[in-house]
Amino acid sequence: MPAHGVRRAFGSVRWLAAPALALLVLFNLLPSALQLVFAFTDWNSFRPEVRFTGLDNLQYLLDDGSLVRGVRVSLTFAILVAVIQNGVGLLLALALERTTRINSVFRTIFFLPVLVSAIAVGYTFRGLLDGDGVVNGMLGMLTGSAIDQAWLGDKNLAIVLVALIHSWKWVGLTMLIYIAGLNGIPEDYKEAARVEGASGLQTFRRITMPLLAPAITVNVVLTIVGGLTTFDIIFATTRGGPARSTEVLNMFIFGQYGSGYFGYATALSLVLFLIICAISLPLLALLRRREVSL
Amino acid sequence: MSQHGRRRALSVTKYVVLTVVAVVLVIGPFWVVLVNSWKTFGEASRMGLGLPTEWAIVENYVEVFQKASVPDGLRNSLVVTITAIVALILLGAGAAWVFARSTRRLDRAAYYLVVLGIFIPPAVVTTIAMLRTVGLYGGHPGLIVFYIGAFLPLTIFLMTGFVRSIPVELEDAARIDGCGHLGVFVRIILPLLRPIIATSVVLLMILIWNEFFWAFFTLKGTANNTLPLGLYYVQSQALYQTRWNLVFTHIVLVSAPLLFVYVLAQRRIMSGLTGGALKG
Amino acid sequence: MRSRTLTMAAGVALALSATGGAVVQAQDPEMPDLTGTTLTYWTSTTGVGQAIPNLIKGFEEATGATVETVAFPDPFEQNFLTRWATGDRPDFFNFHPVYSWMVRLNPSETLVDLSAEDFVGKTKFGLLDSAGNEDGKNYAAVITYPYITGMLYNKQVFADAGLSIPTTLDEFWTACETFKAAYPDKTFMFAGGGDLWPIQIFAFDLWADDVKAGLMDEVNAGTTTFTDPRFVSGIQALQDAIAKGCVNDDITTAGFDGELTSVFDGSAAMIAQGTWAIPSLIDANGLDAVNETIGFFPLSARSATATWSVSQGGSFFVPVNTADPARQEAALAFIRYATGAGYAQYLAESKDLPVLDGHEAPADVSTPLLEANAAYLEASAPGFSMVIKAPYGDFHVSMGEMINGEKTAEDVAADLQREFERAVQTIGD
Repeated sequence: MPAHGVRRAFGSVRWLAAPALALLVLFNLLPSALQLVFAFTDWNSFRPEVRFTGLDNLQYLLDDGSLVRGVRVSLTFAILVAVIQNGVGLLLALALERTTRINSVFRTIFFLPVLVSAIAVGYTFRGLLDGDGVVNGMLGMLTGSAIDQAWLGDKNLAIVLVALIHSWKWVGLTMLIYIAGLNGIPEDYKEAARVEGASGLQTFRRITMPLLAPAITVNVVLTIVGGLTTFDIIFATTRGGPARSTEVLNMFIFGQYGSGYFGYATALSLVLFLIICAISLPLLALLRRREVSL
Repeated sequence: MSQHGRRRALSVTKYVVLTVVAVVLVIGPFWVVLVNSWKTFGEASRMGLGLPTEWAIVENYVEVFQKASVPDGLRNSLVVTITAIVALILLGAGAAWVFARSTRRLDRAAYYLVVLGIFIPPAVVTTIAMLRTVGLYGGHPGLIVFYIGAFLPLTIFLMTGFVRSIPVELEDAARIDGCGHLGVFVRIILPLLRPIIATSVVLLMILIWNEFFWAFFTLKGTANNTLPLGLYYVQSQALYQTRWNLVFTHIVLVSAPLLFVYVLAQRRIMSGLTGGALKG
Repeated sequence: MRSRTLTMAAGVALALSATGGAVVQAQDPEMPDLTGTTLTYWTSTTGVGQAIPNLIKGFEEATGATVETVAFPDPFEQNFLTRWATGDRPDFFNFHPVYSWMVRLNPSETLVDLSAEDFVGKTKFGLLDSAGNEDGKNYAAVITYPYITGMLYNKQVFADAGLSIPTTLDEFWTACETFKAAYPDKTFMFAGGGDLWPIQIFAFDLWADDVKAGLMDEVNAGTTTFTDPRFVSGIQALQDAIAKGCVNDDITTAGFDGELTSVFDGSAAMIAQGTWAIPSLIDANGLDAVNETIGFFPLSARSATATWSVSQGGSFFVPVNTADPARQEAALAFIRYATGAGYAQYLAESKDLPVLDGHEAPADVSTPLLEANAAYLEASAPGFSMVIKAPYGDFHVSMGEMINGEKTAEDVAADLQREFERAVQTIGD
């Protein structure tokens, strides 16, 4: 490769990246950085002036327990979603790994929920889980007695249910990423293992899983971050209730913003941002280290 | 049972289980939405699985079409989604080309920063403040710009890997033939990026078409509403009882375009996602 | 200076956005010709039935203007404020004419001062001294009669159970015991805790005595807090009611419509509600049936004192529009219409009592509304939210946590106090 020629020609080509970077900086990086400023002010809708208030916002949210609760609910939701989506997604991927006609049909079916808007999914399941909804109807048929449980009104069950709904919507994507990962593992490796007498389970643990590592890391990070940044489904189903048991951080932020407390909303955004960084950065570093080149 | 027979039995069991799961858990909810969008208000409230005893399909769809301004929502969604995706592809490819070819440390660092952005979503409050400051807030341009900022990292990431696989010799040859940089970009790079462009378009379409949260904060005036926003307003028109038949009708209308595109391009989409997605 | 830059940034972020629009010169001050003008009107989806939309239509016909209604779904206040905060402005809108809500709009800078308009002098009861009032300036036109809260009860059920109407909380408990003995399967007081907002009302009612005695002045001055037993006892009462079996078993999931259906069909003896619920009852069951079945009685901790409030349903504000004064004038034309030429028709349709002088009550005002009005005129106190000087957080959400066993009444009171103090500090005078 004529390096000199490339570099010379290259110098003036870099403007091609400029528009992208400009937009990226203005509307993604800079606002994220600005959080570091506004989170420590009393920016609000009551008065146009803005004052620095330091850690007051965070102190207030810690004192009344709402910050801890919001983080706890968000983390619970994200972990539930990560476990469910990755578990089910991997199972489906293993079942539908080979690209046959019938597998394509199933892959398509399981991918359909990904295509529907989250708001629509939320409303649909709110209807299904309603006291007079289909789920109760079917349970009633199975058990023989009328059931009118308001499932999303159960303060202990609600978080699990919304996590299931969120996973329902996104598991198709997780499945596809795992399928891509599985298809990237050369058959020879598995053949060799089988020839050597390894059982299916052993092949899976020793060959498949390690070579699937990149896909696992991507999926785990995507599902956790997706879980932490959820809003639409919760907004459409429970609005954070009952008794704030499903009030994830984005829902909380929406409430604070709507009450006019922009500084507090930004502080919460900052907390969410830091949590996401704290989870993705180490996991991504892990990815780099475990990358097995074929 | 022979080894072969046992494997056969397992396979059959597997597909039976898959079918049950697929039908009950996936097709089921879709069917409930579809069939109840054909029912009257009273019947839909019971949300049964059966076909309507009283067909209200025409009334429902007409009412939603008029009241929920579905044509407007469709138009707005199309404008926002298509513009954003075109911009994302062009800008993303441009940036990807630079990142893929450059050996400078600064560019390497910038690339990693960009990739990080995939996992870290934009901050709502401050981004809106930024939009207001530059005067873009409230209409489609603002939302489009928001989406570009939000999804460039993903787009750049997907494309950079692909650009690396394009031999530099092709570019040099084109330059020797007298192509300027832009010419090389348009004539060599973009066409060769077709597979990943297809994958990116599909992914971006799914992400942007259905997007609700940021659109909710960023758009003002119901005339600008995209389809998901329209759905929210329909659902909330209820005084005391949600009119599920209309909500489900709206859901069908909102979902139909994307499902339609998907059915058409299905095989291409599947292979794109399973083959191209991880090549970064 | 750092904070100046911040202020500018935030100020720009919150600045009014210019709205273009057709401009028509008003010629007749009474009924201007606004053909070609489109006005944007923000309201809530849960309004006052058809009467207000018909009022809008009447205005459109009288002036040739077009009004585009944008209805914000629940949570109304949050959705409204979210949109407002980004600088978006309608031409006129409904909002709570209550200081603690209005303060979030920054009225002195963003709203038109309506103090000089005709309707101010014509509004009864000195309502506008508190409703829509900030620092002595009137920012709202109110065309709905104050809402009166207390108990809506089923007269037949009361008669059958041999109950007399309780006038104090103690009598309420006694009546509950009597009722439970007679009707173990029925609910004494039905509460829709699933919808959250209904469960605040019982507390509001019970606070009326103390509010009348000046409790809110103490809170506003800072000499007492919400953790005072006078407040806590009112909050605690709902927990006690749950413990004593005086409310429905499914209180945590039941809704507002459950309240309406149960009090009407007699499965519940009463609901803690306000007169805003009456039109819905009439819509569902017909005026005659409601007159026959439903009554109203006030209830507070120690006396039969009703609580009144003015809500957003019929309260209109006009944002300042420096970019397009003609549109602002057109919006004012609507205000004058709503409080003038269009008011009579509104009254007739809504069957509301008149809140402006010079109008007679419609002939067919419902019985419960008449009873509520009698209570209002006889002994009532403003709802505490009418007189509190700052917002106080999501009381209904905290109440929801209480009935779900997550918080105690003291916790709820502490929430109120904390949020109140935060708001006071934020408003910062």
